[in-house]
Amino acid sequence: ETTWKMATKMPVDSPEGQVFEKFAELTEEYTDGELKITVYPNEQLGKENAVLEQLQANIVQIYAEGFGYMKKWEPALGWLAGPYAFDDFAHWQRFMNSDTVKGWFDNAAAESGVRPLGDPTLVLRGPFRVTVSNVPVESAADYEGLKMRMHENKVAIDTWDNLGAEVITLPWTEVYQSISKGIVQAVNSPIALVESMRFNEVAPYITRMDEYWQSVGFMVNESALEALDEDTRDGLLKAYAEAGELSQEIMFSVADESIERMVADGATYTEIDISPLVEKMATFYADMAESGELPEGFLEAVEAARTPTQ
Amino acid sequence: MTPLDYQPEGPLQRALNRIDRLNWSLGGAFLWISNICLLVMLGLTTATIILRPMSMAPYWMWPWTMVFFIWLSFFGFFALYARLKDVRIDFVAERLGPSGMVITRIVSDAATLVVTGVLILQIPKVIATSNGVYDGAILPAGFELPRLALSVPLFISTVLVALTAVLDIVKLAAGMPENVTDHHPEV
Amino acid sequence: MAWILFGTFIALILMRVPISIAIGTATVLTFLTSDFSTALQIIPQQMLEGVNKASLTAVPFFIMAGNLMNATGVTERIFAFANSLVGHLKAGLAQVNILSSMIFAGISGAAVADCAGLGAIEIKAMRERGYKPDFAAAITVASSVIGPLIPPSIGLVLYAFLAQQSVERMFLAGLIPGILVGLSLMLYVRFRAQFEEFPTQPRATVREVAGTAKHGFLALVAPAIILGSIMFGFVTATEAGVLACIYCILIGIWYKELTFRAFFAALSDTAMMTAVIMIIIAFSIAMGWLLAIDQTPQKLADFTFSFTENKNVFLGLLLIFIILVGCVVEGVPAKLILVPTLLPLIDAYGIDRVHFGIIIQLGLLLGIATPPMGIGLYIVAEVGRVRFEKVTMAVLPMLIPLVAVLLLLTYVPQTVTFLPDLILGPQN
Ligand code: NA
Ligand code: NA
Repeated sequence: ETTWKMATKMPVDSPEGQVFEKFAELTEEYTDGELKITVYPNEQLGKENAVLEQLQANIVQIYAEGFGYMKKWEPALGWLAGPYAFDDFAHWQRFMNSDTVKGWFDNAAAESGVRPLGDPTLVLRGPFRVTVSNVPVESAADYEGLKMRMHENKVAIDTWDNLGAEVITLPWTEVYQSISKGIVQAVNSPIALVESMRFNEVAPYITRMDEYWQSVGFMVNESALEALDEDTRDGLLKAYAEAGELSQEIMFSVADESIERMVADGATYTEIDISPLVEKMATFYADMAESGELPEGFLEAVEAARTPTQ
Repeated sequence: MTPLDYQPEGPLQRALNRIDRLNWSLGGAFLWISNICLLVMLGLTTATIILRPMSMAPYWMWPWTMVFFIWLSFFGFFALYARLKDVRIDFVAERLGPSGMVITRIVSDAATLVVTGVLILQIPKVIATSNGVYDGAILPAGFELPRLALSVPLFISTVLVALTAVLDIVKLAAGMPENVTDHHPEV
Repeated sequence: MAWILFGTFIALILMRVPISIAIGTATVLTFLTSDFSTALQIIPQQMLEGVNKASLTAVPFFIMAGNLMNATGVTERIFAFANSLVGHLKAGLAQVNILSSMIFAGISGAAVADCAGLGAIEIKAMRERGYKPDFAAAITVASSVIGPLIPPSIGLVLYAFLAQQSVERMFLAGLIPGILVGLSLMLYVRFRAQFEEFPTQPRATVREVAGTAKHGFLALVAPAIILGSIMFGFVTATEAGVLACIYCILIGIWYKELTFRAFFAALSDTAMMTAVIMIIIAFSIAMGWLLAIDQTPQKLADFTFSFTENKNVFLGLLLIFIILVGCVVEGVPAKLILVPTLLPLIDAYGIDRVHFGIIIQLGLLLGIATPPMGIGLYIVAEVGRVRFEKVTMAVLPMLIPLVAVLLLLTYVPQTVTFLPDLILGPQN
């Protein structure tokens, strides 16, 4: 009988937190109690880099967070959520399960001993991205000159710069104040966080713009995984798959309810056609590939995944 | 009494006092590094306040403010130890008479060596696992600050603190007084 | 585990070990005796986590503002103004001492700047006027408790970060309690003056009041500027701290009282005080990791909840516990360990986090005026040239009004939450 420690950033009562609790429950059930999982919510064990180091050292066995943080072991993994590189969710899902991306995860595992558990797209995050603004954003053209808050990430900043926005970097916790004080007009956020951060109070225009798709990576310590016997590992994977299905249900119903509430409170919800943005980014990506800033094989893998194989 | 006030007797004490003076100056140098970090933080934040309304504040300003804050804290560790800026509570030691000061002097040095020793032993592991860069801390040439650069000042300070404690033990053995801050006479 | 931690820490502190080393050693020993004795790399890792906190960058600037006020003569101007207002009352200079601290509190974020800078002026003036030195020193420590309640406040910045509350809300929540502490001390002094002879001085004329107000005008509007700029202006808490510093520097230049020498002395003091606090935070965060992975908060919550489900009984126990901890552990490490540990309980009993923040802030603050860890006592004993034991004895009765206010704040939560709810709207 083994106990694993699972670190997350999310509070227990958040939608993601519920998925993790359920995952822990299901794991115990499907492994006949052979594997128990203790969840440490709220960044109790530290921020990303700290937890990843604990994951490497097998002090923590699972970290449920975006795969992007694994880029420190394989820089290409920083591009999994390339903004406006993908037409839709299915396109992204095919890309994520391609041999190219698998190869990147293998490189990271060789470097760190940490790898994803199962299909990396199963547990949804977000479940989609929106722009929350205090001026209407009804088409791709409305991003022209929009003062947008961005986190300190070069790709995000360059992308929105390229799409015509005026980018200002601010800590996430200061966004509300900054919009209310007019320092920025808009912020990009997963829909799930808009209401809890009370962004809609100061920025009532909510626009679904599918900047990229995100999953919650279940990053595991390889040696801990190998130490499990086969039945236990199968049980774990089964629990993971079911947690994935549950996350789809929970995330979308939570998002729908939240949008309904915010609209009732006076917010406006729109969905825009993202193809002009994808198009605008194509030349941007081509230029980056030429100057060698993109990982080897990235654009090819994106292209290959564009159409379903069958 | 600081090493600058002490009159050494004999070659051993003279040599130790010279090292002690050197260490004292080094503590002063680290104090100044901390001061400079603080000034840079002040400057960067002031610039942000002024430039932001004009939308001219570059995004790297904030991450660099954080970097200097971390460096201020970690470089400051040695400075506050060597220059006796930390809080020490001496009324118990004073009650115990002259032997109280000696015992607590040894306890302090021993405690210092325990904590710095454990930290120093971890340096290889921290170096091995500190991958990647500190997000946003870039220089115009495109250089990005490695995450490791954040911990290095802590380790430099830790090693120097350990050496300071060792030096104090050797000084004790050579019959020299420990460094203490000036105390105002009570009336 | 908690016993090793607190036991080692207190023993080392009493053995004249510097506080940053004492908390470090306590942390290391607790790790070595835990299940994680082979995972010691967590300590330096979490130390980096501890200082890599955006919201804590406000700390040096709120310290620096206090130091700069002392360096630029702003403190004397505040004192002179307070003196012209209340100096003629019974035990006038004691009242001046308290009022000065209330005004000073509007710029400075730390109690030590009050004790060390303002305190030196206050004690000197009181001694010259014939007050007993131990009484003068004691009222200085007691009134320095106001500083970290009235915004800005380092302790409240730290709490806001630990409890995921906004700094604005915590600052607003501290304002009324800070004023209440000031008023309770003034009442206490007035009460004592009924039975004891204290030196007196003549009432200032309206002209003199106007004179000192004009003389200190730039200093007196500073608190409004700082609080206002955070609440309604365009700055973050850190930036407000920087604004306060720049403002103090500009006043110093305007009044031609700021020398390069004084500026760099204030800078060095700030850097060292910040480093002490941040190294303590660094080690405490490492300790917090161990408590978290051991699930201490949940265990404590389960245990306590099985003991009593009554909120008021729990609040009473909590107060006693906080005050006891505050006597032996400095406010910063105490908060770093206690807040994450107690939050599950606070939520479970349905206590407002803002309310709890002020309770723990004032409860731990009492510790600066109580032995053995009373930092404030050491400072005023030093700057006032008084024996430590004498100040300690003199300050004891002054704890009565302080505890009375603490009880009021605890059992009438509106005294804390009214102002933030009024201005920022109620939470949730
Ligand atoms: Na204050
Ligand atoms: Na005072």
